[in-house]
Amino acid sequence: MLASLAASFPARPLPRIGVGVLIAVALGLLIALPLGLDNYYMRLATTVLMYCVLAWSWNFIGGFVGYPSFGIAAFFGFGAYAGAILLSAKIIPFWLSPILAAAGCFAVAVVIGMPILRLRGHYFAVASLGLGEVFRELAMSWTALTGGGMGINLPPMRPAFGTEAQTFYYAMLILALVTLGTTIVVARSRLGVAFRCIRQNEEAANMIGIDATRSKIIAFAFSAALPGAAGAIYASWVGYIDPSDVFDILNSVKAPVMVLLGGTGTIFGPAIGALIYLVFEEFVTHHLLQFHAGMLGIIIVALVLFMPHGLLETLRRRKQGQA
Amino acid sequence: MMTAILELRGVSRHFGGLRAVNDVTLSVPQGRIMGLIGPNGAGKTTLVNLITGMIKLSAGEMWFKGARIDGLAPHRISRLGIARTFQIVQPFPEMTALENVAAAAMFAGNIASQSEARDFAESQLERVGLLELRSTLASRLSLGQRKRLEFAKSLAMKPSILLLDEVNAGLHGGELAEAITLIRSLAQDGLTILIIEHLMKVVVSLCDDLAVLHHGELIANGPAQQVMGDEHVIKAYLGERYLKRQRAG
Ligand SMILES: Nc1ncnc2c1ncn2[C@@H]1O[C@H](COP(=O)(O)OP(=O)(O)O)[C@@H](O)[C@H]1O
Ligand SMILES: [Mg+2]
Repeated sequence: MLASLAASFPARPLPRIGVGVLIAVALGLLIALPLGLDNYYMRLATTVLMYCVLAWSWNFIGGFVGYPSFGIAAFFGFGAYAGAILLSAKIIPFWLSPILAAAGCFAVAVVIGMPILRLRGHYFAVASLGLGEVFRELAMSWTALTGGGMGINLPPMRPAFGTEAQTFYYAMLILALVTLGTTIVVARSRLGVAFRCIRQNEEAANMIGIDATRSKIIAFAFSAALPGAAGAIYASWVGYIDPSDVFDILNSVKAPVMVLLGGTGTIFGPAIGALIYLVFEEFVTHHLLQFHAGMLGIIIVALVLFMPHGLLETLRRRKQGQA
Repeated sequence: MMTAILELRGVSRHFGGLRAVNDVTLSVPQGRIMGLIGPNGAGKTTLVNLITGMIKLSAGEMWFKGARIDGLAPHRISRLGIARTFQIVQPFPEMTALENVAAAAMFAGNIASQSEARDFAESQLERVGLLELRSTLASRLSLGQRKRLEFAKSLAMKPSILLLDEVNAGLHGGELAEAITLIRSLAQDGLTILIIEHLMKVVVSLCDDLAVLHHGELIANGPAQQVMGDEHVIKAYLGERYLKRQRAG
């Protein structure tokens, strides 16, 4: 009866008012948060929001459509460079940089998606992984535009109000809300139905009139545009980017791990996964500096062994088992 | 001459050296039930895969309602009004029966609103006698129920022609009788049906016309009574099966 939750977002009859109050409180907390946080926690909170964006973004192609993508780093880096180049040329204001980066990544993903989304499963995964490496090489060698291995320094941002840290926090918060909003709208739309059908059986989806290729390209473009915007904000935030930082392949692995941690195809799973992952990471990097990549490995193994459906689904099943 | 809704002209499909479908020219008349029969491996499923665009032709042309359809993507062909059921049923397992059918209504059936698609899906589920199970996950349905779900999905696509690939295989007495009644009622509503069927008693009771495939070639085609009296057909296919069954029955 309840078993389709993770996959299908059934419109569950939740008490409307309760949900409204919950959302208002959560939003209020998120908006008020910077007032109570020191620099360290501001950085952590902004990072959590950024990874929420990356995890939710991955969820479009990887969760809804079920095509395992490792292309997050490619578009995060692309967006970071797009933002950095435009901002250091001083031709656009800060707020425009994530929007343009997103538009650029969307267009690039559509063009790249046409050939690589014809590939199924594992082949697509490998192709998407290669994408980040290609972009990184490009950034390394196109020195005139990107500064090559030297990277790019961004001009300092003068916030209209509040501190710089607060500006970036709110920028990430807005982007995270946009990403969440897109997730919810898509999940409930015809497009969301098409995504679910494709994930379960692509051939049968075609047979009932779903243009699977087009749907997959749209999902891939969402999975590219939103990380692109995050990359642009990130570039301004850290003030200096270089290829190995923004095309870090770990981001392509972390995003799906976070989604798996929280629950594939659920609406809040990716964010919960991101939060848990980063809190763990923060804890571990403080105490065992060398253990970073090792932790990722351990989480992956633990996930596969103990929670193949993610945290939300595991908890739900446990609860259902007791009931 | 009757109007043909679907026309195949010199259609072939080769797999390496194997001629799975070889130079088939066939007209499916509008508003009738045509049986497509032939031994295992004759190329029946391949022919359905060709018509629905799932696989590409090696040679030939296909025309549907006067327009050429070979080379079109499967989703386009299905939106034109060609629906199929799969020999091995292919529901979306993590969706309920209703969601399965509503998806078909939404896309091939071209119903923009999701709630209207659901309403229409409910009426199709009712038509196949599956309304009670509308909230059941497709993966939890029995084989017979899944076949009916496959039916409802196809109907929700508002097709003009329905290609049924062994929909009745694995059904038992009561279920089989219901399926036959359903198919007949669909034809009475004006739907053209091309049915692949192994059980001769079903073929005899349903089909107006028959086409016989053998090693990928069309060896007979015409009114059912006439085809069943054809020497080639009896030799190639009906012979052993038909006689065996008649003796057994
Ligand atoms: N995708 C494929 N690749 C290679 N051979 C195939 C393929 N599909 C069908 N065949 C072969 O084509 C022939 C016809 O198969 P099929 O159309 O499934 O027969 P039928 O449905 O009449 O039993 C068989 O010999 C089968 O093995
Ligand atoms: Mg077959």
